Amino acid sequence: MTEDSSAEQDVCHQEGCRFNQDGQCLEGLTIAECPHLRYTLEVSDQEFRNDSPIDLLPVVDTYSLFSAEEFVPESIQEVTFGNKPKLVVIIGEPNSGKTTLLSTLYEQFHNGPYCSYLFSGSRTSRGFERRCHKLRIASGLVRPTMDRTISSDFHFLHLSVRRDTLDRPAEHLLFADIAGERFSLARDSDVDAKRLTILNYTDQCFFIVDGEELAIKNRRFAAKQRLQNLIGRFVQNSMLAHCGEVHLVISKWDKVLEISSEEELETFFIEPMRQRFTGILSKIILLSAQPQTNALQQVSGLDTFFETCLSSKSRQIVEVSITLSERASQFQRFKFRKQ
Amino acid sequence: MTDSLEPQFLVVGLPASGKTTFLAALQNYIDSDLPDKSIRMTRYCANSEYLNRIHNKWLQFEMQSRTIQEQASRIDVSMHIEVNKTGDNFTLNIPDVAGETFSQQWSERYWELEYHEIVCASHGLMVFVHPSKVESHAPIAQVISALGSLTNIEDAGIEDQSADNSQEIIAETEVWSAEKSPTQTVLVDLVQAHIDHISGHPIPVSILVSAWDLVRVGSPNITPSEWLRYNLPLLWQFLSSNFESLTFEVYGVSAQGGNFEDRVDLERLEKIDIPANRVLVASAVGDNNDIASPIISIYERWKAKQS
Repeated sequence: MTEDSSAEQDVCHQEGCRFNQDGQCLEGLTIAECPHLRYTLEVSDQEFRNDSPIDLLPVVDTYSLFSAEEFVPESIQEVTFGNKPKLVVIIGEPNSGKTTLLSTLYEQFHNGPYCSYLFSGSRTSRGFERRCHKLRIASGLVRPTMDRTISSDFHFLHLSVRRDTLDRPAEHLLFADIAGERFSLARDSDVDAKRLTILNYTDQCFFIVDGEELAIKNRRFAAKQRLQNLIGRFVQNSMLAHCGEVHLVISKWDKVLEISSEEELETFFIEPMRQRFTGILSKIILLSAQPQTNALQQVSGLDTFFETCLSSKSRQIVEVSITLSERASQFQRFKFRKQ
Repeated sequence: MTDSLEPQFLVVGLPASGKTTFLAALQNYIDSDLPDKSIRMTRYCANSEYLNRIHNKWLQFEMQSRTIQEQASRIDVSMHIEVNKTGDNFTLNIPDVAGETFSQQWSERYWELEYHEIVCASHGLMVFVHPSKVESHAPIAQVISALGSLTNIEDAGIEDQSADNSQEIIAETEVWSAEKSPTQTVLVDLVQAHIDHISGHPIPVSILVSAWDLVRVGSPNITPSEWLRYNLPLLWQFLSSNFESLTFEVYGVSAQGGNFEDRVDLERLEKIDIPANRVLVASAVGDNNDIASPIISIYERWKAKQS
């Protein structure tokens, strides 16, 4: 094939994006950042006829291993096939600490068993490693930080753990890592809330709120209101009816203790949330995953989060009839396997 | 490498993990006139020139540095071995002595087809780890906590890179690359991928911690299993919790017997009349000089599984 007659280009596969027409990304991302772009090589008909079939086939002298990157919905069968993973969804605004929470949990096993559980494997270890990078000295940073999850796609991280008594099989956790923007949209629109059908298949659902926002006096009311609206929107659309359990995580608890106090937050936020969402919220977890203050220097609340993820209260099963002609989605398959 | 009745054991390890020195000491054991040897070679292997060269270096107390030949092309070694006591045969495959295949597995996510075939035909795994080549995960929070309070960062003269000009500073920090991943993460991936492709679980796995004399200097009483648990806890957890898929033993191996570049060590080693006795193999049952003992152990575990 000659370079003259073939054209190389990036093609966006996101529905509704006009990048292919005018080069403008729907989400305002650069080419390097966008997860929907696929590189294509256009080959003219003449070239195709000139090349022999053998020339057109790629030379395959290698064997591809599993990618070890985060799963997309189409690839979670790598874990769901033959296993019954617990699906954990963490819902929160951008920068509320969702990815930090997952990365810190993974990081605990690098030090040894955690909460009487042994690390038993991960099919997404590179996905975890990428996320952990900025928590580590190797990043060159002196304060742990975290890249924001920017893709609007659903990604899943897999962690397999086993009780240290080894008397039970390994347990598999699938964590959904979803950009906070998806939840910001869901807060303001029934249509966007209903799109998060993943909640129908969720075993443990955690709403996470930035504790620092709740501790700062001129931001706390808005932060509380946004969370109330988000949970309220899901309740209004019966989106939490089929979750196993729903919990609330207050992240950056060390900042709360530094700026405000536990008593103040209890009065202003925790008790009112309990009252408003009675029968919906099970646990309220005070989390400090990457403590950066003198008020709290140890990771706290992570053990409760982890044990809650593993708790066995099963979600309610919804009857869904699928006709033979209808193609079952990965999530529907996931659900049936759970039954 | 075709007879399924004759087991094949695969030797893997990241670059510079001690495989070459182990091979040199093993070649010495096989060539030696030691009484009561547990194994012998049934035929010369295809790569005898390479084995003889590293063996000679080992005998003359020379470090096993990577040669131009090793850097230019992959060196594969297959040793056809007979167990003296029973007359049973097995093959020890050491594909890619230099170890690039194994670091490439983590960074590029593929094996060469030829290597894939070797893995699928294998019955057990020997994994080499060098104690001074362990890349830690070193969380910032733990290191800062050890150094003292975060509020003293400025006093300590460390630049706070998460300050207001974070955008510029983050651009200067190291971006993630697979090559900088913690060693234990890479080794878990290495073992996991191999176990996935070897049939007949549980697979016998041996972890060989090389340069064990170096470990002994700092921790004279530590056992190889304890070393693994404290220094590569993720790998230890993975091996312990997957007992349906694998059985594992841990050895500390000093195939050189000491540091050839250390005068005191060298003088001590030169006084040993029988070169094979330079070797130190530590295990759960104690120390010995038998470089073949980890190989016999993996074979016996495989054989016990057959009965």
